[in-house]
Amino acid sequence: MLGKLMKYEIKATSRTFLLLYIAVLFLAIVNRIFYSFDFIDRFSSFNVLMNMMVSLFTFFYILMIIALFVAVTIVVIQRFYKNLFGDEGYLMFTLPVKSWQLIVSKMLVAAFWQFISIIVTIISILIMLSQPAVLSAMGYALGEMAEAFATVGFSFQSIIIEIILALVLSLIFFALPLYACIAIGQLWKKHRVLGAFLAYFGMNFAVQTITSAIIGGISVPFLYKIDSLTTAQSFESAFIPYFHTIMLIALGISVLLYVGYFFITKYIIDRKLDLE
Amino acid sequence: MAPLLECRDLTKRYTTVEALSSINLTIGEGRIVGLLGPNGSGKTTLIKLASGLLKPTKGQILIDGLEPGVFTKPIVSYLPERSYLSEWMRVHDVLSFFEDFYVDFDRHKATEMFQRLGIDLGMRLKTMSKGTKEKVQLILVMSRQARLYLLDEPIGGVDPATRDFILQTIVGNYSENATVLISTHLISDVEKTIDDVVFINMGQIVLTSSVDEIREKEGKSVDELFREVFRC
Repeated sequence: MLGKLMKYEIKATSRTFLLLYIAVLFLAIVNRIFYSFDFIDRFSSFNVLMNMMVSLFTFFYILMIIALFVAVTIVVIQRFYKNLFGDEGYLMFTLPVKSWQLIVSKMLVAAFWQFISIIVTIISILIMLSQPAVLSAMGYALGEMAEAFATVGFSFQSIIIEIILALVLSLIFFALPLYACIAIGQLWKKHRVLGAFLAYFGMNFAVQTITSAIIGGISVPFLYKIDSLTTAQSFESAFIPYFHTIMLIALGISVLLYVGYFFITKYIIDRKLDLE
Repeated sequence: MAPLLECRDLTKRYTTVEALSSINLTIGEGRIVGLLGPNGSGKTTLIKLASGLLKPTKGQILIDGLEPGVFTKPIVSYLPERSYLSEWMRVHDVLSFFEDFYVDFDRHKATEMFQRLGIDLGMRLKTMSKGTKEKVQLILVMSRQARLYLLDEPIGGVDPATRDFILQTIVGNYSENATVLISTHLISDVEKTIDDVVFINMGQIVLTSSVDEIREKEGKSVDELFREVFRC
């Protein structure tokens, strides 16, 4: 059932994203064509005009990328709100599927579009920069980074891996806090949208405050230790373990939060569902 | 064996109003039941509680002995009083959707009915009139082999000719031991179709009876009795 739900979720959202991807890639190709001419070598009114066009289209491209990621968030919110708590919810909640399947199918499809959007953005950048000199420079830089990664030692490597893990987690689960807010908003029968917004700001505030308090509390002993050491000593013996601790705690908190968001959403759907 | 639909002391309160006040009701198998009452009497609330879209404030509603949930949904076919299909879908998309999720959905039967009504399978929901959308939904809902059909105002918004088609579809498509619960305030239209009536007013069950009983005991049609009971 999860697979079927995801199939229709992708169908319902694919047209929007395909259009956006086509627009992004089209602008990247236009920019690529502009960049292949050299309009600066000789001053003429044509060159001035063309230079303005190049700037304008680069600007359009940047706007388009921003629009793409804003659209991902809007579609994620709108699909959850409209498809489950709007009129379409009358069908979705009478299907013989479990509530966790409804939530997870939407979350995974949201992660899927977020991922594809990142890939399309990378491809569009590669299209714009696809000149031999730039590409070889990028290849060189990547090689350098890999080499540096190999030489920095295990503890530093694991910090990088932790950062990547945090990014992957937030990519997969980024829809859950939004779902929880929408679900909490449903509890305030007369102002469901306002309720969702208030839940969002309230939850952000609470999470920020508590996280900063925890991280701050943990930092104090480390900072004392770093203070008492020489610069050369402190990096190996204090900074690295400090970073590790912070990263692991941050990962732990975000996993706990994602679990919390999921169960809040599920609880409200299972026990408190009151479709208008 | 548990009755197909049972309400025990069922109460539903919205923020300020009580839509249902501790009602008790039992509906068995193999009946066509008219849930009759004026606007705002609690008909939609009762049907939404039975399909799990609302949760009771107090008391219980049971389908085949179970609270509405993942086990009752496969046996209940629900037609809401609003349009619940995605606007981007075409008719063949909704056919596949129902086929994917409901094992009891008969695609062949639905396709046949669409063809009879001249509804093109490639047509988008977005371009349909309100009446056509209602017909599409009813065909989908009646093309399932469910045990309980919950039809909320199936004839509310359509012309008399379509009403006849809808009622024929309902009668012609439910199997012997399935039960159909039809909510409406258009009594005279459904009078010939239904076996039993449940009169509901201001959140309370006023009367439950079979149509034959009303004719024999009261010597009246359901329509006449309704006008009498609900006289303003």
